[in-house]
Amino acid sequence: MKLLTHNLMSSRHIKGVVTGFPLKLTARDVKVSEVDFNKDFIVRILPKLDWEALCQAVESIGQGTDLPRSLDPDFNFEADTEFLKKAHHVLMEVEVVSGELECPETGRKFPITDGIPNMLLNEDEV
Amino acid sequence: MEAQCEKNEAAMDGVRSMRKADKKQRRSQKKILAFDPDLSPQNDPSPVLGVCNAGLMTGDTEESLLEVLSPYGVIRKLVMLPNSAFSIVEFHSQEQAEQAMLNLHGKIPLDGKTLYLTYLAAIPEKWKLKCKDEKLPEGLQLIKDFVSEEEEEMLLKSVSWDTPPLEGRDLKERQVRHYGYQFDYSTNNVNKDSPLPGGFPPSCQPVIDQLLLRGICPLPPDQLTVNRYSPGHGIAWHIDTHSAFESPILSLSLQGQVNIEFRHKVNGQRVSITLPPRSLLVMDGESRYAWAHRIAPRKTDVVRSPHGLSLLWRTTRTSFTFRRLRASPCHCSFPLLCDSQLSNDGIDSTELISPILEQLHVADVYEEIAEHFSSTRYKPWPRVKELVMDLVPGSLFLDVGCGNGKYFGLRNPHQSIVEIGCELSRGLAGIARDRGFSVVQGNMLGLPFRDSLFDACISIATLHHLASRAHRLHALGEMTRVLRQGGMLLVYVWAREQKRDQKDSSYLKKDRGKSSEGEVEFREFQGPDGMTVALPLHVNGTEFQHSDVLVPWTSKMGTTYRYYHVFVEGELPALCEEVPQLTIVQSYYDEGNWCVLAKKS
Repeated sequence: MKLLTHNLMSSRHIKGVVTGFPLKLTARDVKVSEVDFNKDFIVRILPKLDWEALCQAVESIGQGTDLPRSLDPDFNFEADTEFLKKAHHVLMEVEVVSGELECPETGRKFPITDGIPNMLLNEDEV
Repeated sequence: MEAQCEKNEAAMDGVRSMRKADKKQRRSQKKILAFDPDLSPQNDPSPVLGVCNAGLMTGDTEESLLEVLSPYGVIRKLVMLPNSAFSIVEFHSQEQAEQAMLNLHGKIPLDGKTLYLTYLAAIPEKWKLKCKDEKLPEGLQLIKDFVSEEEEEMLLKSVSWDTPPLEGRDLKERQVRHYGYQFDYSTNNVNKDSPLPGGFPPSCQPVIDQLLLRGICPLPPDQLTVNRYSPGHGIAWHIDTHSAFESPILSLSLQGQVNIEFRHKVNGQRVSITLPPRSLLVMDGESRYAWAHRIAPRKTDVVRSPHGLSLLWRTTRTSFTFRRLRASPCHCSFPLLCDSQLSNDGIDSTELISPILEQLHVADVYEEIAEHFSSTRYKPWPRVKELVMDLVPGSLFLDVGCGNGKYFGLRNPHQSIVEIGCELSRGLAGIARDRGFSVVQGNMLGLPFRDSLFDACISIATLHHLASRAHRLHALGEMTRVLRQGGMLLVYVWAREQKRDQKDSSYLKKDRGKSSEGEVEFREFQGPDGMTVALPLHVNGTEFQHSDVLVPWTSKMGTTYRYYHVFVEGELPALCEEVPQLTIVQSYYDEGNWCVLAKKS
C-alpha cells in the first residue's frame, strides 16, 4: 500500500463512523523502490490530497523527511522541483508491505499483508 | 531591471501556454478525425468551429455552450450529437468565429474543462441530417394559440397569489395552487377521497369546453395545478405518477415562454421543446408514460428560428396543468416504470437470502476460481477503455471490482492518473497487485474511501453480483459518495436480453448450436423463517429465462456457480435515477450488457 492510496482511504464504511480519516498507520515491513519522477503528475495530484495526513503517515512509519508539516496556501510548489521530488518519493516510492490501519473513531484494526489492506467488515459492523 | 525581467517572464509564460494550447489543438484535430473522418479541421479561419471537450457526453447543454459562445457573434447552428464530447458551431461570419477562437481556445469557461477549438471547412451533411427536426416523443402534441390573449388574462386573474394556498404550502422553487384535488408532493399522489371545496376557477370552463369539443381528452379533467415560475426556477425530472392520473396530461402555458425537456426513461433519448405563451402541450401515450420531463432551473433558454439559435431570457411563466384522476390501476405497456404494476410484482425474492448468495456464490467462488478467472480476463472492453484513456492527467480513478486490474496501466505513463482498485476477492486483488497496481480489499457495499474525492469511478460487471435491489442501490450510492462533484461513473451490468436488434451477443455466439432446454434445474436455498427460495441453474451460451440465476463456471477443478442478477431493459437507469446527486448522461446496450454513464451533480 502506497502512502498515496492511504491518503484516499477512510473507515467511513463502518457503521456509525463519521469521517474515518486519516487512518492510523503502523508498519512492520516497508519497501522503497524507485519510480520515475513525473513532475506534471505530482503537481496535478497534490492539490487533491490531504497534506497533513500524508505527513503524519510518513512519520508514523519512520520515513521522516524534512517535509513541511503544513503547506502555506501561497507556497508555489510548482516551481520547487526539490520539494516535488520529495513529495514524489513519499507518495510513490514508499510502500507498506505489512502492517496495520486503525480507524481513528472506533479503533477497529485492518491488517495490511503483501501490500494489500484488508478493509472487509463483518456483517454486524455495517 | 527587475520589472523588465518579470515582464519577460510573463511574456514567456504566455508563449508557453499558447504553445501548449497549439499542441493540444493539433492533438484535438487528430482526435476529431478519429471520431469522424468526414470532418475537415483546418488552420485557415472559417465561420465553422469544432469545440472539443464540450458536448452531450461531458454533460454540457446547448444553453451552457451558447452562454459561452454567443458573446462573440450570431450563432447560425449548433450541433451536439449523443455520445460525443464534441460540438460544432457555425457563426454568422468568419470574423465572429475568429473572435471566439481568440477568446476561448485553450481557456476554461465551462465547468473547469479546457476547451480546444479548431476551424472546420463546413458542417458535414450527415451531421446536419442527424439533428434536423428533433422528432417529438410518441404521443406528444403542441397546439399553439390554444387560448386567446383575453382568455389568458382572465385565467391569470382567476388565481390569487397574495393569499396563502388553501391547503399545503408554497414550494421552495416555485409557487403552486391546486384545484379539484390537492396534490401531495411527499407521495407524488392525490388523496382521491377528499376533493377540495370550490372546484376550478370559472375562467377554466371555456378551456375545458374546447378540450372536449376538439376531442383532446375523452372526459373532463378534475384536477388542476397552477404553477408560477420566476426566471431561474424549474421543475425536476418526473413522470406524472401512473396510478394517480389518466392520460393525457395537459399543460397550458401562459405569460413567458420556456423550454421543456423530455428524456426517454429507457433509452435515454432527449428532446427539448419551446413552449410559447398560450400553447397547450398534450402528453399522451409514450410521452406520458415512458418519458420524464422537466424544466431546467435556468434563467435562459435556447430558441431556434430560421436565422439560427438565440438565447432568450426567461420572464415569469404560469402554467395550468389539467389532469384527470385515475379510477382503476394503470395498465400501460411500461410495467417497469409503472407504480400500479410494480406494486403487485415488486417482491424481491432473493433479498431474504442475499447474505448467503453474496458469500457462497460470489465471494467464495471468486476466491476459488481467481487464477483461472483472471487468465480469461485480459481484453479491456473498448468503450470502458475509451473513458479511461480520456481522463485528464492527474485524475483520481477508482475501479470498484477491479479483478486482475485489466483497466489499469493502459495509459502512457507521462499522462498518468491515480489508479486505485477495490476488489472483494483476495486472490484477484493479489494478482492485480503483482501486476504493480494499487488495490484495496473491500466490499462495494461499503467503500473504504473518503467522500467526494474521485474524478471517475467504474464498476464493470460487479453490480449484478449483489442479490437484492436494496444492495444494488446502496452500492450505487457508495460509488456516488466517493465521487467528487462533477465526477463520472460508468456502470456495466449483464443484460437479461442477450439478443438485440436480431443480433446475438458474443456470449450467445460463443456456444451457438448447443442444444439445451435452458434453465430447467433449480437449486434451493433456506431463508430465515424456514422459507425456501429456488434459483435456476443457467446454461452457458443460452438466453436467460430468469432474472436471478446461478451461472456455472467450469474448469479442471469442477463446476462452481456464481450468482447473477441479470438486468432487464430500463432497470439500471431506473435504479440510477433513485440515487440522489446522480444524473444519467448516457444509457446504452453494449454486447450483452446494460450500461449507464452518469455524473455526480
